[in-house]
Amino acid sequence: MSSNMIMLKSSDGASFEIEEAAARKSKIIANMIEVECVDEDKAIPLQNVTGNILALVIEYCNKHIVDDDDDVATEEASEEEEEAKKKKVDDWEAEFMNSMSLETMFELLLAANYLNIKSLIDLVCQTIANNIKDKTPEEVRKIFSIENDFTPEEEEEIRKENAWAFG
Amino acid sequence: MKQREEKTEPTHRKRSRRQSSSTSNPTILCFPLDLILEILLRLPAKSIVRFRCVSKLWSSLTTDLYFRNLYETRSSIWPNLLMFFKKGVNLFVYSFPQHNQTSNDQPHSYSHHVDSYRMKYPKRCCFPFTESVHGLICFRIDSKPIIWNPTMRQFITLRKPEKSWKGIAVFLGYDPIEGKHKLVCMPRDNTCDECRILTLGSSQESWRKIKTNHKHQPTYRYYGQCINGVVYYQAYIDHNGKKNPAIMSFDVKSEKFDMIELPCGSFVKMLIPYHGKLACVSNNTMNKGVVDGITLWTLEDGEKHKWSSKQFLAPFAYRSMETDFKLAGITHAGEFIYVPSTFLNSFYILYFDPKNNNFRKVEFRGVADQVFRLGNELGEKRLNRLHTFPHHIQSLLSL
Repeated sequence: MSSNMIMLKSSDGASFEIEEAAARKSKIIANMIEVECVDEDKAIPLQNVTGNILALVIEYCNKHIVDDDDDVATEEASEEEEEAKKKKVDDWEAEFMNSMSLETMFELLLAANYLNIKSLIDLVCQTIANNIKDKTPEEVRKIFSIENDFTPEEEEEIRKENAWAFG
Repeated sequence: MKQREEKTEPTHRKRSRRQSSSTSNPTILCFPLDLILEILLRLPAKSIVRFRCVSKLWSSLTTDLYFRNLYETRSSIWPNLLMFFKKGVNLFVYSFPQHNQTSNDQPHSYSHHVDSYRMKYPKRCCFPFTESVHGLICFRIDSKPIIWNPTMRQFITLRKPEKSWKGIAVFLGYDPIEGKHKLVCMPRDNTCDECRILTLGSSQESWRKIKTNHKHQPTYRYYGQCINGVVYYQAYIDHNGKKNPAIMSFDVKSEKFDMIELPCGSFVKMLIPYHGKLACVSNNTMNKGVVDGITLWTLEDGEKHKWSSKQFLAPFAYRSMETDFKLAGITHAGEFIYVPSTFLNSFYILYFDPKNNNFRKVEFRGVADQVFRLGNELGEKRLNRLHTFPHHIQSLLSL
């Protein structure tokens, strides 16, 4: 497998070198490569992603491109090996997300969405969901900067109708 | 979100400005709605319902049919095993993931991933052997059907379908094409060639009269089984005054009834979905009535009454466990799910793989441990009559 390197440039001007195979995790970049609008000497500008978030995206892509290669090489791996490998990836992902603040998660989600990396969108959405599932509506409003547009009476009615969900 | 702000009253706007200056979060302000949806879809039902009072937008997002369908589709990929028992005025409800298939033979143990709660159930509600149909379960109170959505913790009692009917047989069906639940109801004590049908959630929920083509009487002891939009149940068919056992099918969408001959001429122990088809389970008995295996008849062609049969050795024959465990269903992977009918503190669910003739044992620890028993006044005796519903999916449908 060729290890073509391509350059990505964040919105704040930081440049990153990444293997083409890893960058292809992003559907957007993969498309750019397909239609050959990637100049080898020029970095691809990503206007919506800052350097620190792009670094995380690249870390994720690098990790997962190795796994994809493994899949090809060991097609006939036993179920146990498959499971061990899956567990390793799960552990890595848990560790990867664990160190992140909610704020960073949201930025990473936006970047994953912009770059169209489906598996990363899934991972971040699930982690955010796990993070907020036990929170109160007030806390959720704060996290998502949502204004409460219910009248106190309306809100009280919803709470009363679904009292079990507030216990 | 900007649009929404513009609509709000000036007083609200003031508050909003104050709020956003103190908790400004530029990332969130430009957050696309489809990503919010993706996050909400991954929440437990309880959180989704609680977050309905976050804002009008979140409330309408999560009560929308589109969202509900997506949520149900996700949930159907990992169906649950829903179990409950009743004690006093309460139902104690548990739901466990059913998909957990590990390749190693180690007994698997759960004490988390279990959603449990207790709720009061309507007085005099009787809980016959029944099934979970696309997230909903149907019971009876006297001759009124009652629908339960365990996910939303709601019961709704429906009107009596016909005043003159004393006892009723009621079956719940789901039409996956139009996404609608329908109830079929008929008298239990005599053969009849018409029934009543009600579509759940229709603008005027009312019973309609429909001819059944075949004059028949459901055997209330047995329950219905809804598979791919068709409800099957066992019934006596009236043949010139003679009652012959058969299977009736009801197509939920077209509301057409049909009759299918039973594979062995007599009623079978249970109806079960097997690889997306209807299957009949009957016990093979050796001498002295000991069960030594089961026969699974699979419906290949309903119009031609064509069945294929498979014999399986009874997994418990030699352990005399048949009395403690009962067959609750078959997973999509073809494993037989055996559940206990009584338990003390913890219990096992056994997944039997007939192909390799081996078991997976999944233990649910501390389901009713000392602390739980004390807190819920359950006493110290074995808990009886554990009802089990395989392939249960979570539905956000409000009844």
